[in-house]
Amino acid sequence: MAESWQKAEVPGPIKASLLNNPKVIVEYLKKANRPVIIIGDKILEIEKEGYKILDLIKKLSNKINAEIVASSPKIIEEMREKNIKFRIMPSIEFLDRLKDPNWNGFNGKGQYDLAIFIGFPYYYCWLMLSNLKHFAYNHLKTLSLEPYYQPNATYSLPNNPLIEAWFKFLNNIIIELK
Amino acid sequence: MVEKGPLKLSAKLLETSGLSLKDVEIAIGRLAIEEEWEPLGPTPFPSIASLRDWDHILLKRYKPLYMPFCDLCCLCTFGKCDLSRDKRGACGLNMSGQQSRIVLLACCIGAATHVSHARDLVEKLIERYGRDHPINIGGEYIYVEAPNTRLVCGVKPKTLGDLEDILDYCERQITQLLSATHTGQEGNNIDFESKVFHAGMIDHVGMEIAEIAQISALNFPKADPEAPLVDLGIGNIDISKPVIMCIGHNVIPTTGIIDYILENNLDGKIEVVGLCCTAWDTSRYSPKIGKIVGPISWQLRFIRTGIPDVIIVDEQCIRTNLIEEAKKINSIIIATSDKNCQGLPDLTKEDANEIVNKLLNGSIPGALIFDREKVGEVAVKAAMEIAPKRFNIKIFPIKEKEWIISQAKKCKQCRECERACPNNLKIAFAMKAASNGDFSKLSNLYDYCVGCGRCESACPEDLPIITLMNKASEEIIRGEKFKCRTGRGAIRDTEIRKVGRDIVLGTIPGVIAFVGCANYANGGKEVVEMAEEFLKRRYIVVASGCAAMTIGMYKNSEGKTLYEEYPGDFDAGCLVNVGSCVANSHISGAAIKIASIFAKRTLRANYKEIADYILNRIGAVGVAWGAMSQKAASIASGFWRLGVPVIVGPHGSKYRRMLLGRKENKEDWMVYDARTGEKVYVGPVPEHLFYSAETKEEAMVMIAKLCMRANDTPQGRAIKLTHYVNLYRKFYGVLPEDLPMFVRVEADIPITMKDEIVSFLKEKGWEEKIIPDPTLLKEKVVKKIG
Repeated sequence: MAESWQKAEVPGPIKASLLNNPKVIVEYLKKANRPVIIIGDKILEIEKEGYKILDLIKKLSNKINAEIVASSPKIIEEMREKNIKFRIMPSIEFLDRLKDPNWNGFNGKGQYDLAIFIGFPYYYCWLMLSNLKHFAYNHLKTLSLEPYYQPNATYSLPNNPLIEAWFKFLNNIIIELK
Repeated sequence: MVEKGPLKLSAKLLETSGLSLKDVEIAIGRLAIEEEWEPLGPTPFPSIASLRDWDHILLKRYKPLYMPFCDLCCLCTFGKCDLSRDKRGACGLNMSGQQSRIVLLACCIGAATHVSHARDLVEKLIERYGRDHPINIGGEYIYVEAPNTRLVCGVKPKTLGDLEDILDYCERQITQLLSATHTGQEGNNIDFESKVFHAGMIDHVGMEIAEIAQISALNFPKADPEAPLVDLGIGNIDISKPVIMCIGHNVIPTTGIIDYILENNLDGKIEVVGLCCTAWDTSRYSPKIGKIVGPISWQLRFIRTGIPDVIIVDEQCIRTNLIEEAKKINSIIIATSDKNCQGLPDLTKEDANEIVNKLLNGSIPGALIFDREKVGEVAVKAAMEIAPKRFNIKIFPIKEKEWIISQAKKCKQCRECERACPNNLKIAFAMKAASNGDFSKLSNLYDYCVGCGRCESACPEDLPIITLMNKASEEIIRGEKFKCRTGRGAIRDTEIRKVGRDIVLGTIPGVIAFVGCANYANGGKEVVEMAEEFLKRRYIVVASGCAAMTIGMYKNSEGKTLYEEYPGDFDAGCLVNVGSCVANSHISGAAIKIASIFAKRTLRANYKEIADYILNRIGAVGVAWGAMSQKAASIASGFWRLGVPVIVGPHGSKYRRMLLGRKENKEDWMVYDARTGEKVYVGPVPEHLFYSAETKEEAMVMIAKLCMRANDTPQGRAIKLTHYVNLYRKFYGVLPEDLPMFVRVEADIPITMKDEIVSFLKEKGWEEKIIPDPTLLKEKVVKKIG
């Protein structure tokens, strides 16, 4: 059974489905009508280690037609350089809107139906996903692409603390998306 | 004064042959005479529901966002109850109710802790100085000596004895609040949140009482902008001398130590150092003797240096396994509070020399002593006896760098340490590098480690990770020599008169208070960077508690800390350290005093009107970047009820509830124009009441934004917008999308950016808005005559 990366972060009866197979993830991604990707500040640490994670996110966003939301200035600077389209909104403010079934998204065309999280401190992502698990379950599914198992998501990757393996896994998702 | 006893007599006028008194109240059990200093407002000594209508107004605009820590409730034997996805538990409570209930519990713990701290101080100081000892927190500079107390209770304390009555009230309220969390009591999350606000308000009264008592009786700096600069940092400690380390928040035992040192001419022969708020208050009591090690999270780190010969613990935020830690360095521990007995024998009535003997011969693991004089004598004598025997233990001399390598080689790279670390620090990688003789990665962790020690508890090899980190950072630790300004106490009434107008009109862009604990997600430097940014922008920057220490722990290129660089006045571009945790009451007090002294609003028992004034007019924001404790939660909630927003760092999300506004919901931002009674849209100001920022940059933008208030004059709003736009553009490279919401009239637009902003507004379809005399209280509308 999947275990939280931070061992004390035990949620309760409802836990994320563990997705080990990129093909299965692709199926869920394809099912989404209005996906959105929320990027946290920790992405930069991964970029600094030489993994072009923002390039992968750009590809993912393009392939599934997902909007990107971020609030870290350094990420935004990087995304501009990489010509990635994005929205600026602090994650807590965005969370408040994601949980609201009546919010119509940035472009007013309707609430998102899949929120994809990547690049946050473990506890921070854990808590945001907890809110959505309890208060947005009727209209929103969540997918954690973090390198660690996030039990409060609807779907989560397993603990994959070796960044290289995790990066390869993400890359496989992009390949499978075709 | 306070109603006491079974019988109370009141009279508007009482005349005898030689005496004429107005507004007299005689209560059996205590005589209470109240001078006529201000008309009594509508809510003296409010009960837990007296201000509910105000709370509901706030909570309608700032709605709770819950981030549950757990799907379950396990508080009664019906449970565990699964509350996930808004199921209801056996008692009927749902997830929102349970989360708000937990927040209330946290705030009750916080408020109870401060009130109990205040009670202990007041009792002990009355014992020493008498009930009639006058209150004096600033001499001729302070007329409004107790703004929170006057506002909430409607009384004006004059002596230490008067403070007891106010604490009676606080204790009653906390008991009431706590009872609301029992199974089958309150069930509505908004009413729980209202009670959270009440707990916070009581907390500020309790803190104020503690501060008034200790400043008045212990002669702390009295509202002094030039309070002394004191030593901060481990490097300032002379380890050739015996070292007594005091941890906690209640200064009374430490005053016993200082007094003993002075009475026995030992000044200069012994070091008295402190951690957390006891350190601040020791330095306020004796700036010459008291030295500060650092914030509370440094305690494990400092003990592992081996420096302290004797460890004194009082109350709050103390590691609960210090006996074990003291044993590791052959140090002596003395507990001094009935709230924190540590399982030690109560030796209060034993002869001091006997206690010292027992401590030195190891027949007891430590001592519990409640008498401050005895604590002083035992601590000093024990430190002087034991120090020469411990000299080889101090500052890691028994351990050479090879020892790090040998320890690091035992690491199996299981990463259990990282899975326990709150910040997921890369400890295993650092250990791997250290095993190959590269200590730099281990040393780099020093700045980011919050000192919780969970890594060690999780390590299957029992590696002393904190000690290894210390050893790898030995040079850094030795170089920790800083100067910081000790807590000055209250803000002078004269200072309020000077800056009140500029704050209310907005020409001083804001008052930013850096408060709270040191549980930083990315190291303490972020707090310094934020404080410096707003000092340079000429905001008034206020600090307290561990955050105030952190601000003093970094130097500029000239080797100066911010305290040496910026003056300590309550004025634009100044850095004001008010003092310890309980000194946070001076910050709320300053906001209250602006409404009272500058705006001449009636203060006495007039909570709603003053809070409405602060929310709509005073651009103050609290930043608790490393907030950790339940006390921090209750301090914040006291600010919320007053209409002051609080920003926490990413770790603050663990308080599991935010209070967020939704700027696009126009109806949430309607106020009454007090002149006409019309409802007017004022824009999202301030946008949130409780907000967790992911990064320091996000926080800085939000700080500038949350300083905007409905009452800002166009000149003031233009200044505030200059900073908001400037910071937003500095970090995000563009104009903020929500800018049109904050521009009411063209004169609001910063002159230096006028063309660009006008064109941006045009593009967004901006329309001019009315600037009202804003209030959320219908009863404050002044009806038109004729």
